Amino acid sequence: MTSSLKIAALALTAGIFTALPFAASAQTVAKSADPAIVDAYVKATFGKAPAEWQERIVPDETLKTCNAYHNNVPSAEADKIVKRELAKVVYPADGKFLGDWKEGRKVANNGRGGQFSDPPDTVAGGNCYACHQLEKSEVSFGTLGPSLTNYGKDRKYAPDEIKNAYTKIYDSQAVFACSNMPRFGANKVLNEQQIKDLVALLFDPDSPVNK
Amino acid sequence: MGGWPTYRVSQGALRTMQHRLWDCYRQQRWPVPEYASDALTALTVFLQKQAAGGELNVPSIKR
Repeated sequence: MTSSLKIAALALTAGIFTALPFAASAQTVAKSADPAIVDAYVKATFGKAPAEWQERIVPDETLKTCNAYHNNVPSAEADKIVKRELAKVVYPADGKFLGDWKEGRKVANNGRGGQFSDPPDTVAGGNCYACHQLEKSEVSFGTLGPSLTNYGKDRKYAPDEIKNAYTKIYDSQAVFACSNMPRFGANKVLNEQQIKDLVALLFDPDSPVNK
Repeated sequence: MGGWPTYRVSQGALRTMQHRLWDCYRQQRWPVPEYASDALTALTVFLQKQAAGGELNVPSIKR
């Protein structure tokens, strides 16, 4: 097969696969594997891990819904998820969302905490650069999430956007149902101060993110 | 897949894709998976199938 033919074949295949989710199958419960087979795999693979670790991968109500629809939830289900997750968000008692961007920078760069290889007292980071671009000077960043460069500046440092960013970091699904971003506050990965510091990294005019 | 097994500079040792999948679960904050367990084997077979037709690139060095 010539290379141009190959490309045409690839495009055709890609077209079929991308078109399907928007066809009749859109937003219906996906055909799922036999739960008994899935359970057997999970048990064989993680069954010897400590019980409290195995509890971590038991999906909550929100994840069960996202899993059932392969994250492509109908709007009624999405509304239920957003409402449920929004109820989990604890806003700062002092009403202040902006911490210290220099501390936020450390949290964004720290990818440790919560792994089975980490000592239990490890301070967890947000590992933000694994998915997002932030400071322009940092050349090593992932692209699973959108670039956050100039995040605050682009939003004119608007108070409602600041609160929205706090909500998003605290519980991403309180903003967007079945978001792939971890629910850092709701799952107690980051504490309130760390989240405030990350919001400052995004919204402080002196933060390198906005330079 | 064509680049595995590989010498991982960060670990100073030869590692297989199974080691990398173990790291993958660790970084996802999942419980520790058993080596040679069903899911690790199934995932490796899946990746191998996806890689069919690709070029082998061994011996190799990765970070």
